[in-house]
Amino acid sequence: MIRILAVDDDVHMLNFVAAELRQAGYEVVQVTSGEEALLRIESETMNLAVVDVMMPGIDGFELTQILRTEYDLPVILLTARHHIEDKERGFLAGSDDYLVKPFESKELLYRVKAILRRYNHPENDLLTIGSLTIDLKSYEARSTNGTLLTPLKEFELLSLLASQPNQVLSRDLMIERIWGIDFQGDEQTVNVHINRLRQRLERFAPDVQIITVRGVGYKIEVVR
Amino acid sequence: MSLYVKFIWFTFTTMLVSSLIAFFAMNIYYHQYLKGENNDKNMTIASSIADFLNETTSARAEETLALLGEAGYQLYMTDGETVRRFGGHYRDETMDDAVIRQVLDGKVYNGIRDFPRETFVTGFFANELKNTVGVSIVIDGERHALFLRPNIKLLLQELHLLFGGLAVGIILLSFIGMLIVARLLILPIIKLTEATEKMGSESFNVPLSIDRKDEIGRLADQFLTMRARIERSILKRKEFVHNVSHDIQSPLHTIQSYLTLLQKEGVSENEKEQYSAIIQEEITRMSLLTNQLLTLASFDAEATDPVEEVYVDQQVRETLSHLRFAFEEKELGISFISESIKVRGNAPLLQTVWENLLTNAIKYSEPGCSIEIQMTSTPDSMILNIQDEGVGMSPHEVKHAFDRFYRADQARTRSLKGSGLGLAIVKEIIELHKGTIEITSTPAIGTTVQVKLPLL
Repeated sequence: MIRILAVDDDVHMLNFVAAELRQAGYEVVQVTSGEEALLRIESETMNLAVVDVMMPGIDGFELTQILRTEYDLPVILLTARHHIEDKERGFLAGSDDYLVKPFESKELLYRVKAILRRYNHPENDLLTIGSLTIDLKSYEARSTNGTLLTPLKEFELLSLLASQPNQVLSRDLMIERIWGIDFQGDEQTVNVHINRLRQRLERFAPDVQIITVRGVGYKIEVVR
Repeated sequence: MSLYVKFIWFTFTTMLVSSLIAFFAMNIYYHQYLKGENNDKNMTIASSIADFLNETTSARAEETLALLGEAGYQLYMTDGETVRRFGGHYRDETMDDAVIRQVLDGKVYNGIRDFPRETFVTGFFANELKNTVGVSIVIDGERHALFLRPNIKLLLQELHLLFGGLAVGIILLSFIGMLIVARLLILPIIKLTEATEKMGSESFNVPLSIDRKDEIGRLADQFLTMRARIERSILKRKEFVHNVSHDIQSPLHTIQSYLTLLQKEGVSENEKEQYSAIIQEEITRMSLLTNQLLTLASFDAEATDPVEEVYVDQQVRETLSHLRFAFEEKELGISFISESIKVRGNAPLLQTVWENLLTNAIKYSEPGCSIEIQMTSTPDSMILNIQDEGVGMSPHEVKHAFDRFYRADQARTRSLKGSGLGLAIVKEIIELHKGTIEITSTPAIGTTVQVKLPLL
């Protein structure tokens, strides 16, 4: 199970963060100060820390620095003020991401997921098709044109197709691999995503084309 | 003390002090150089008179001496016992007997040269027997000592009057001139002071008719410019405070009303959820507003000189990765095309610019659309284009997009979180960096924002 260290001197905020994380299925260790956080991390293995910036004693920046350099622990900083200097200091301290309070729980969960995903890809995981390079770690597609950032589902579709170029993949397979077996929607959802992806590729990497194979599914091809 | 009195005092003191300085300087000069020359000149005259008198008869000598007396010399002749004067008395006729005896013995007396220097007396005018030249003469075989000097009073009387009149005239006219000049100088200052006092009580339309090309004219011009600017900034501030109060007041009001609704009995679960969502939204809006107000305040307060080198492409990339959640939510695709570009600027402020512009693009995009970001450079500037396929804006909305608290779609605002400050902040930051920002937009087609910043 993934264990997350939540650090905040504001108990209400701490409870809120912990509750949201627990509901999403993570194990949460709650502490109310930087000092306590350093004690706990000595005895327990953590996968991620969510740290508030404004704390008495060891503040969020300091704690982040220690956690990053000594424990190699990814950190999400919570800043109360939308203060530009804090933002910069947060980057300096080496946090992996930051969130400005007040935030919605789904944003927190999204960022937690994104960071964990990044940390599970220790090496660069690259797929190449035509002029396109697909980075499975950062979820970006690159070409000589620049960088293309697509929504997650589209990215997963693209990587799935690109991992087997020129092979026709059925919509059922795509639904199973990307949305999961429990998916409630129909094949139309796949069509919508494929169409969007196709349009984006048309502009960004015209040599890479997604071809509809009537009655079967889709395949990806490199066109000269 | 008023400026008038100061002017008069100043003029008076200047005249007095300069006269004194001039007097002492001339006195020193007289004693140092002129005294000797004057002595020699008179000695030459005395010698030729002596030569003439020595050669002539006593009757003729008498006549000559009388004539010289009338012609403007003061003569004092003595044989040691009796004294004869021609051309009037000396004011002070004390003289050492030893000197008279020496002259009688044939020596010359250089009294003008040896006349002692006194601080407040000009030796030139001293009507004293000591201040003469003396020679010995022989009349009828009898030795006499003859002392002489020009009769200044007789010779220069009219000149005295002339110069005296001139001096009085100069002084009087100077005072009158000074008063006129003072008046000319002081009048605009009085006007300016009155206008300034009025400005203290927030009346900005006191007419100021000062049309001058000098320093005071410039002061008046500067004053008018400054007054206009202050007036504008006070108006802006009032409007700002008004807007802020309204923008804080109205969500608070909404929150209050919906809380009241929530507390009523018999509210269905569905309604509860709906009301909570509205409250949530209003709180988010207020929070965003206060955050941006903080940014504005810190931006106004700090003297934020653009000084560091900033890799803007890197910044945009970071911003994109931070905002990924937001465009993920709307299933937007973003393509980012750029080269490595650095500008001189203030990194956190520029970051605010990218964040605001990208947040806007995301906010006004329809789900599933694309946003294209392109960053290029010319030899002297960086060009960033952010193109969305969003709701777009009308020409009127584009025109007011950068006004503080202007929100394009008043009716739709409720569903789109916005403080109305974002673009105003962006514009101020870009202008601080001497750049430009332009919006081109077509309703229902999309909006392109172009930012240009000068390179290093």
